[in-house]
Amino acid sequence: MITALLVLCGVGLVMAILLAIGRKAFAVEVDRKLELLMDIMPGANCGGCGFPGCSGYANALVQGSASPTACPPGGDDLAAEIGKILGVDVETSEPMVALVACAGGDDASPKRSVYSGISDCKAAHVVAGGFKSCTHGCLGLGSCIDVCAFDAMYKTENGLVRVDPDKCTGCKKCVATCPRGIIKMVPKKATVHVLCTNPDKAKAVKAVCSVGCTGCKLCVKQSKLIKVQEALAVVDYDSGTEIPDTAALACPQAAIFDSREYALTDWLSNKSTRDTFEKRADEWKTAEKKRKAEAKAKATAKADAQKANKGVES
Amino acid sequence: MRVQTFKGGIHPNYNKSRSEKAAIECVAAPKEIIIPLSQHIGAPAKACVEKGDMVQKGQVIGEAGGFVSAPVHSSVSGQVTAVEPRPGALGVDVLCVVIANNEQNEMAPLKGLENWKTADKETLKNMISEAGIVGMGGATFPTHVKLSPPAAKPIDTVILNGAECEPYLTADHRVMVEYAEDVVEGLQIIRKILGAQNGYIGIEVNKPDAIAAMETACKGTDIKVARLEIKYPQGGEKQLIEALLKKEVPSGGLPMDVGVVVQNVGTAKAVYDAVTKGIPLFERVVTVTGSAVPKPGNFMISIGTPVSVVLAHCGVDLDTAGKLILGGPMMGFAQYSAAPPVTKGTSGILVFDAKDVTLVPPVACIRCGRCLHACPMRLVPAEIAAFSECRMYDKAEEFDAMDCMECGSCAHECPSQIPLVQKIRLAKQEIMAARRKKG
Repeated sequence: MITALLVLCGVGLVMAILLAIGRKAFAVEVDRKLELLMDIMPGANCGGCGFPGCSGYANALVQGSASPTACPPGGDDLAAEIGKILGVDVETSEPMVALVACAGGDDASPKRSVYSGISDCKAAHVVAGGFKSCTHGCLGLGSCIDVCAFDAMYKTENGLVRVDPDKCTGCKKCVATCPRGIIKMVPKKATVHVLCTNPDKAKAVKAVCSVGCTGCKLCVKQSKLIKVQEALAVVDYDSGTEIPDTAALACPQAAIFDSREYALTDWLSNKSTRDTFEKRADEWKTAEKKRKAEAKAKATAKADAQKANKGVES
Repeated sequence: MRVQTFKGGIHPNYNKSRSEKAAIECVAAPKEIIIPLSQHIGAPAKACVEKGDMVQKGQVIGEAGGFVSAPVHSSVSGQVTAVEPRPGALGVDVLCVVIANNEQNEMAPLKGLENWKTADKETLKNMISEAGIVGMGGATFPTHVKLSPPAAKPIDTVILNGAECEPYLTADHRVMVEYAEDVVEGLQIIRKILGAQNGYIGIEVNKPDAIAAMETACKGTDIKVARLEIKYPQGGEKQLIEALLKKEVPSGGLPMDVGVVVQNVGTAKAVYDAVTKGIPLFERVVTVTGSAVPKPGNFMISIGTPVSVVLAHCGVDLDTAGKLILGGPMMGFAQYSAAPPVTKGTSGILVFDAKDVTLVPPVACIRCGRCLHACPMRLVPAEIAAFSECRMYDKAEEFDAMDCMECGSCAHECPSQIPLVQKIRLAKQEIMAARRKKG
């Protein structure tokens, strides 16, 4: 009994000494910076930085081949910490989030054919351009949801997908996955968005969707930040995001979404929200008409008065 | 005589009896013809007419957009009313030339060769290229490209594909019966261009009249008419080569790698017409059949005739129909409307009753291995599909997903109704995208 214990302890001691020597003799030099960087990485391995996972990015940072601001999930906070570790100055940037620019659910843009294939947008898109009337619209099978590592994307009841801007880190994985190319990166602080990507002319758009942008330019009159390219209104996020709510109200197709007024989920799938909006829009349009008529009357009255004055003078 | 075939394949219901005896009937071109500028694989043709222009039948309206491209010709005489996107057979809008038919049938001046045997290869090839001839079996690969193999790859054998293994279709069958001499002559022209010593015509044995007609037409030549087993996909290029020559085209390779060029019988007829009469490809034989077609048959249809016009001619009521397919049931394209026009690659128009269309949701793979036995390319469809589902596209590539020709044999055999082809196709698409990215 005693012998066994002693032998065991002896073996343990010898092994411990060997290990201690080995640790010194075969020590691998690890950059202290790399360790520190690995500790602060988000760890989602999303690939949004363009490197193979978080360790790939940390390595590239140490070697100096990556920018400290390249990690979308980490954002400005991480960039600042990376800057501290690497001892470099970091310029902060505007946080961006993904936006699925389509509001044409099953009710607005009905299915044109029965699709019974695999539940993947890319596969469905190749079969005759998809089953939806609008060949630009969201197919709603959720390939983007599958690749989102941050649980930031959800299906709505009426066959669309929405992004939760609070959870979205801007890694752009969904942007690369969408076969329709309708997921855009927008500044997180932006509140007004055109939820349509169909560049076709008014007649073609109206034929396939009831909430598609027709390129009528009525919104352009309300805000200079909205521009019409081909026959599609596009918000110029680079120039600013301060767009008045009248831009949305002026849209005859209700293709412009204003997050200050409505929640995105309600806007996409709740009919009563749409009804409330339409009521508001109608009220605004009537008021606008009245205002214009009054302004015109005033102008004519002024002109008349001037004419009369002139008559008196002469 | 021995019946030849390949390993694998399936035996679907052929359902050819309703239209195989029907002689080719001409259908008058409608008032409005819609001719897509992209009817072939490769760069789309460039429109060379404008709105308001008068065109003649056979006149070029779209010039080839590159070497792998083909010109497009008007199939009627009349006035161009628009050059605009219209619904195409692949579900998306394609740029089309719309022509109002004046029903005068004014032909553009056409010039063929009186004796093609004395002409040189380049002249013949140019005539084929200018006539806009593409593979008429459905793949629509420009024929002149296939007839220009690199010098390092000499061609010793030309095979004419008369297998017509797709169920329901009988267009090639009728072409072989009714234009036997034209087809043989076309084959001789192709052989001359390629300098090929051997010529074969492969026909499935369910077309005895076609075999007889071709044998008569081939009398006095060294062309061999081969009998093929009735099996799908007997008409695949690589399967035909395996059946007739016992040669295997290497993975990722083309028939020219084993010194063979395969052409459809319809293409051979078009080559004959182009070379001897100068007639460009502006009409083709189309089989219209299926359970919802009261008057099935084979029709000579002007390219650009809307499918709806053809169906009206055959007495089809589209409101009660359940499914419309352009091409064969195995590799054709289901349509959501009858607006697309007949193009150079439309070999058939199939319409089925709603009661014949069943959509069964897929269930789990039971590992029965039927897809394995069915695959004519000797792949493992279930495995590749599983990799595709897990987005492991690199693994799918290792299992040679790129060799899949999407014939649909595996999906046809699958007792679990798994859309195997669609999954493999998705994998192929992703593999191609990854390769492009790599450069």
